[in-house]
Amino acid sequence: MIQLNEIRKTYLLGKTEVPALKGINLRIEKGEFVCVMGPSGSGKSTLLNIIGGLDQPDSGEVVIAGQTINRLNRNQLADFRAQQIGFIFQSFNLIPVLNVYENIELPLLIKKEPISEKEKHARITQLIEEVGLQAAVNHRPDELSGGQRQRVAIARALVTRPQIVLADEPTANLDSATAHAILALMRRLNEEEQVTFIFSTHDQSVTKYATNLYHLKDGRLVD
Amino acid sequence: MAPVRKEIVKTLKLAVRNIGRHPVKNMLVGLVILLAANVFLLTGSLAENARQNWRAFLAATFVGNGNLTAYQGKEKDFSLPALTLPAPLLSPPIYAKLEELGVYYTKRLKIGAIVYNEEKGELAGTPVTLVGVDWPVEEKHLNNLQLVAGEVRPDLAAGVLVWEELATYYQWRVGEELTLFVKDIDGNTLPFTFIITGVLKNKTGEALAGTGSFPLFPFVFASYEYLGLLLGLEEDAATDLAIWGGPPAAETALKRLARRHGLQFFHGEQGFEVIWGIIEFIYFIGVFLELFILVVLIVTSFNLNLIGFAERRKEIGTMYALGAKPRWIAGLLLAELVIFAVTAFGCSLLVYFLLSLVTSHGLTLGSGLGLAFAGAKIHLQLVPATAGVAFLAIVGTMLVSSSYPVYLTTKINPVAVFKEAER
Repeated sequence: MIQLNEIRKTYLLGKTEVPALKGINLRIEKGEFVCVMGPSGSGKSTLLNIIGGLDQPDSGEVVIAGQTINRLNRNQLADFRAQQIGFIFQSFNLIPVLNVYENIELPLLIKKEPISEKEKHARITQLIEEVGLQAAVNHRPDELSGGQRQRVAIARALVTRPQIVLADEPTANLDSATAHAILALMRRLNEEEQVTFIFSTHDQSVTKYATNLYHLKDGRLVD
Repeated sequence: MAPVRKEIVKTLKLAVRNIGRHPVKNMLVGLVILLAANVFLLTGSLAENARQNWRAFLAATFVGNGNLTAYQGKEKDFSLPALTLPAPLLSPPIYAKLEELGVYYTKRLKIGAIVYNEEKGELAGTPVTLVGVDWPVEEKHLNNLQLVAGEVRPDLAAGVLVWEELATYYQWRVGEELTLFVKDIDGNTLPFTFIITGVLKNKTGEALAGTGSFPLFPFVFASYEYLGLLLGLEEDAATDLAIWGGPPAAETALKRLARRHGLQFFHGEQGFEVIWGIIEFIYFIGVFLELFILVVLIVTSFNLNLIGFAERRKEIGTMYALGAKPRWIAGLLLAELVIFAVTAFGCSLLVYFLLSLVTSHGLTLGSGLGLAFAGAKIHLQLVPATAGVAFLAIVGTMLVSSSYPVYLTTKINPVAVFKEAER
């Protein structure tokens, strides 16, 4: 379902070339719960950004659901992300002026999902229940704890019913107990919704939730 | 509500929430919008006050509510009279059309005349405007005039009323003969002798007389019928028609009629070049101030939006990651600007309204500015056309000045923004 062929990416830091990915080949099937593990600077975020169409590889091919996404233009990539991808960020990236309900609703507004208001409401309410935020529906992000914010981000990532959810170090800003609770939640939603989850981490303790684990070191996948 | 409409409402709601997060920026830009709107409204009101005050003053003094003339170009100017009769003159077919329109008018003959100085036995330099009027009919409209000496003598064909300013200048007295050289219909300059029966002046605006080296109202009023005979004109011929009233749509119809027949329709303030010049100068000063304040608005809005949008780079990057297209982001930001500009303009209107209430008794800008406003008080008023122009100029300026900051947000690379945020 997700096929990466010889993906290479180099960044320029001033005049210095910094290779981030050095020929990544990877295949991920639908419904997997994949963990990409590696130290800081190993290329985890770059890999997730390329899969999510936020960044372009210098060479290689990214094929998702039969579509080679690194050939798409900016608007097509935006459509691709809106339709197929859900993002969960390390620092949550919630919109500060919107409450929990509205933050979850935002991707539907951006996607212009052609569903009725009733259906939208039902979908958002169900997700709020699933992530356990019924009591905080009208709260704004600054009124929530880190764990609650990440729950909102998870619900926001799932509201458009994407094929893939990409989570870049979703537990890095959370305490250990909350981190495990968030991973357990993601895993449950992965099983229930049959959505492919790919998350990155450098925390060994959370890798137990993954169905497949990949190690990334210096831009290469290692055994 | 249709889903698309609901989405627009939700996007606008998000825009409104975003506006509320920059109170300092809003206060600064709002203050400049308040200034800009009030500069537009005030200068527009001053120009309108000048125009209306002069129109009202001149309507009751001499010109009429409007004037249809056979003279062309600057020769319509009452203070710089033409020394030759226009051709063709106004004639019955035009009067018939005015009657069809339901317009109430009176006929006049107007021509420049050179004064003959009896004592020196030579022509005086400054020409006067000799105006033939049916005095008993027009007298009731000209309620800003008063006789300061003598009387109106309709029974005396050669009797004339002279303006006090002229009488003082030429030392004319009631009962004296007055010889004026005038070109008749055939172009012959002939001396006509009149008898001064009265001296006139304005009841209000007296201070306006003698403000320049030329008299503002260099009028000698003669009998319409008698002047027509002297000039050799046909019985019903006229150079001007003073318009006193008619249905609301009459003015537009009159302007159209004037265009079709090579005539000129004008109001009092347009019939005196010096007055029209003052009004135009007020407009010019207004436009200058308006452009200046718009430049201030451009600079303020550009800088503050550049900073404001830069502060929201991570959030905008997140929206791109969620699938937003550049035009959606640009639309959201422009909606914020338009909503803010419209709200600030609404508040500015309110402030202006309060200002006009506080000054409802009228303002006097000192005796030196009496000439600009016909000696009357200034009343702040909302001129719809000025308010419309101000609204479009302010909203347009906000959009133009913000177009580059908005454009920059469409170039945001989410990956770079997230990396910046991590650092």
